[in-house]
Amino acid sequence: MSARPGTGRAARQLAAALPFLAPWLIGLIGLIVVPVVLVLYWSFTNFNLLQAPQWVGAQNYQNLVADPTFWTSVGNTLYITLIGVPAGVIIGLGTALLLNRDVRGRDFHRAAIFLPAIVPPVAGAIVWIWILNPDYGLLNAVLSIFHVSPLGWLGDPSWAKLAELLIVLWGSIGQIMIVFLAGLKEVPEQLYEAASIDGASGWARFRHITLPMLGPVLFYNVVVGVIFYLQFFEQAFVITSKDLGAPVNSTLYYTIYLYQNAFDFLKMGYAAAMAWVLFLTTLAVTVLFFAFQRRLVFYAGED
Amino acid sequence: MAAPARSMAGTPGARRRQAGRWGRRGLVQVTLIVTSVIFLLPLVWMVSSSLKGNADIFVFPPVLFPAQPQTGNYAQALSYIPFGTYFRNSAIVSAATVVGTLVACVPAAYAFSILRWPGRDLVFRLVLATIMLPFPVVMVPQYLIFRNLGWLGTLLPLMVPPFLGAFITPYFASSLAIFLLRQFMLGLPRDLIDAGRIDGAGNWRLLWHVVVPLSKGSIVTVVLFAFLTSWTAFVAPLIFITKGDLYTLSLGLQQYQSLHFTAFNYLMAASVVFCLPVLVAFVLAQRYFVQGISLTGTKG
Repeated sequence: MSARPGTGRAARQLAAALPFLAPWLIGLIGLIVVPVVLVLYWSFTNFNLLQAPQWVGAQNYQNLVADPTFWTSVGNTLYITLIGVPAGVIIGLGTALLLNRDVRGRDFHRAAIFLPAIVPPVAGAIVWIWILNPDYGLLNAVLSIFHVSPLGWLGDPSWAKLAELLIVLWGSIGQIMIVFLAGLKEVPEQLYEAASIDGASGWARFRHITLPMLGPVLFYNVVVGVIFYLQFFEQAFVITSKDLGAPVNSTLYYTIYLYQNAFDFLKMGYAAAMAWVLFLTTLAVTVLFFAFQRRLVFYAGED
Repeated sequence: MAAPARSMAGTPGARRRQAGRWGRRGLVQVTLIVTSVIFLLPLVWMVSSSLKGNADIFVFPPVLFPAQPQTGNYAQALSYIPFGTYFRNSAIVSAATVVGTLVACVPAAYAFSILRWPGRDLVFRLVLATIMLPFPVVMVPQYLIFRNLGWLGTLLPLMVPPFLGAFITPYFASSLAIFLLRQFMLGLPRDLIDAGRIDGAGNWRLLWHVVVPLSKGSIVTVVLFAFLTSWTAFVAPLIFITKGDLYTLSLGLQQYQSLHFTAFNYLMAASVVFCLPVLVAFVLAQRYFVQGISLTGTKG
């Protein structure tokens, strides 16, 4: 037995585990850690892919703060986040509550609402471009039944963001609903029974039992939603691929502008500064929510 | 909340409440039907438009069921763009993603659940942290890394990262696969694994002959998500695929959209074929999709 048996055992355990972790570890270092560090370095340089990066200090960050287009992209991203997350959570929770009852055709409705969540985003965006066509689209036709005059949707700067949100919500509510349904299944039936005996109304039961018990699941949906909208890209890119951010930058989101800077303008240093800001924001959001969630979970008496 | 007990069968109040219950039941039913129609209508519209002739497509108000379905649109749409090539590229990338995810994530999950080693749970937190990593943060450096490796102009930038547990998308990532598999393996009966150890099985044999067969359900879930995500992926192909004949379906369709903006019937036909593999997977394995999403949401 060696002088430090604990160390020897630890080394043996590590040596046994390493082969199982090797592929993941190589990927983590080569494709995640190194890129994140590179992005940090480039964010302090002038870099156009053709010449070696030149150190410029905090110039890129100063330019970002002074760049009105950057703030437009931040504003547009905040707009869809602040509307999209609550809308997704409310509709997702609403449909889950309806499906959590003993209703006819439950499996059918669950599948119908979930189905759009697995449709490829590009295909979803394309069919919606056609639905939202101002002249021949389905939506304006449906609205005309209710005497609503045709809307410009994706071509109208004041409607374009909401139109894109409609597309994204259609494709994401199914997933939110499934998570809520799973959460609802874990609420103990006895709590409702006890509340019924106490004569609690439906709203009181929802407010004092369902909602607190759903706390962790609710927070999961909010965190995933916020992080999704912060990096929202796919549908917006497909819809405006000929003129990114159109009409008049009303759908220029954060990552669309990042993409433009990197691959259209070849301003890699500037794009790297944006990427690093996105990284820090995501990190902050995650840490903040998890700290908050721990308190909430404690409140609900779980864990 | 100490209201008096007020349920007395046969009283007028009880009868009124009974009627109210039926009314509410009807309301729930109607709301659900309307919601389902709203969610399904775009897909019905996709199929309906794909069967319309050039004359029927630009009609207002639009017709949901074309009088003479043009099934020939499908042959037209698929020859309009190199659909076969794009389909093959998507299939190659998806197959590599599924295999790669299993090769990298099953052993990693084993190391994070069955094996014991110092710092295990701390390192696992790192896995959890990377689930939230946005792809746009690392896409520029990865682009340059792949360029230096001479991989641009091939499908390798899409095929290799899953083998290294570095498949990143907004919906599903390698880290999420490791998480799902680990949660499942943690719940496996310890006696079975200990029995395997007493029989003298090494870790690889234990993984392959005991843990993998017991984890079939979670492995199927991971396979489905890896397939679904790589089949529908758009951002990584957009950044890393530089040659037209290597386009995946997402890229091809997107380009078709901008080139032939007016040929909506062909575009819809191509979209239907694009969605088909995913829909088939969903119909065959709905249970696993639901399980996977539920688990990430409630155990996260």
